[in-house]
Amino acid sequence: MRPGPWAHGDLDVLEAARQELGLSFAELWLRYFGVGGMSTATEVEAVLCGALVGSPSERDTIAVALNENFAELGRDHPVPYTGDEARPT
Amino acid sequence: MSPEPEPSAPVSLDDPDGDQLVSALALAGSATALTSVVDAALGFLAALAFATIGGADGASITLLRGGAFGTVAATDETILRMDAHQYATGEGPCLDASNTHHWIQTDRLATEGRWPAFGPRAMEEGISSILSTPILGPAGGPHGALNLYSRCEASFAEHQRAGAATYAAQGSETLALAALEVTDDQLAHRIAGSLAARRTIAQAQGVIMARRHVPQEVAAAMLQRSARAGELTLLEYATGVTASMGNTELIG
Repeated sequence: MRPGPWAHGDLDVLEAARQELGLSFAELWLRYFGVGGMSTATEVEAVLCGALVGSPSERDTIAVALNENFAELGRDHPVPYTGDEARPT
Repeated sequence: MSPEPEPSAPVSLDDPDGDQLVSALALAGSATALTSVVDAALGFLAALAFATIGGADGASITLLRGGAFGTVAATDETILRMDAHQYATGEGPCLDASNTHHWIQTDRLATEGRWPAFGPRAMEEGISSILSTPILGPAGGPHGALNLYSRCEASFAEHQRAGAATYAAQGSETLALAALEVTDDQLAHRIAGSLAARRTIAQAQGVIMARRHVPQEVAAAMLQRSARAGELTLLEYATGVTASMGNTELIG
């Protein structure tokens, strides 16, 4: 996997968040679509698996979908956005 | 797969940003039938394609369901007839794109030789160029095409093909997602919820684009940042933006 500025260890921070939430890729894509995402489910999955390096805006939109799911569960927003200081999850 | 539903009337998209789309989405929001929601989602994608790609005078979505072609969304009556001419003659770009899973384009129907029965009917409707992009579906399930029609010749170039491919791919994802749990009413509600949220967010992005004269991607980022700063969800903030048209203080 090619680590990007958001990488966390060997696992992309977005993928780590998806796994923590227990979201399927299809469920994540539906949430991502709902917040304005333009990529396909396959492309989103490829970004999370490291096969594609998403643009900053692309990753931010995925982060919004994940963080709003965390918020629904009463959690803080643990997934960092572009320009955020790196912080542990 | 569940039994194929009866074809429903196509969603009219005369004004992609107007009342008819609102009505279509309201219908989607109250629908429990997954097919209706999927059709509304595809109609929304057709509206977005028509509004954002450029070069087209109309757009439609064709689906092959239960062995029969039908139009699930069309921007106006002419476009609806354009699709119908293809179903009636059994030829045309939307059928070819649906059947071959490849995009089909004609730049000048006046000299087009692939569809001798459909071509003259299309010319009578005033259409000169067409771009049909396949919408793939699950094995054995519905699939079809996103169709862009223009009264001008050679209206569709690489930019339009790329844009159409993006929206068609999202249509493919919608069909694949629906096939995962085709009997699940909750899925229908979730798709409807995402669809409604996306529409509100797209509207809010449009407001920001108009006020700030920025492209869509920048508007999306501004919306996200403002929502975070206000400790609101993106939908909550977008709802505030659309509810306060004219309030230029809202976007900071």
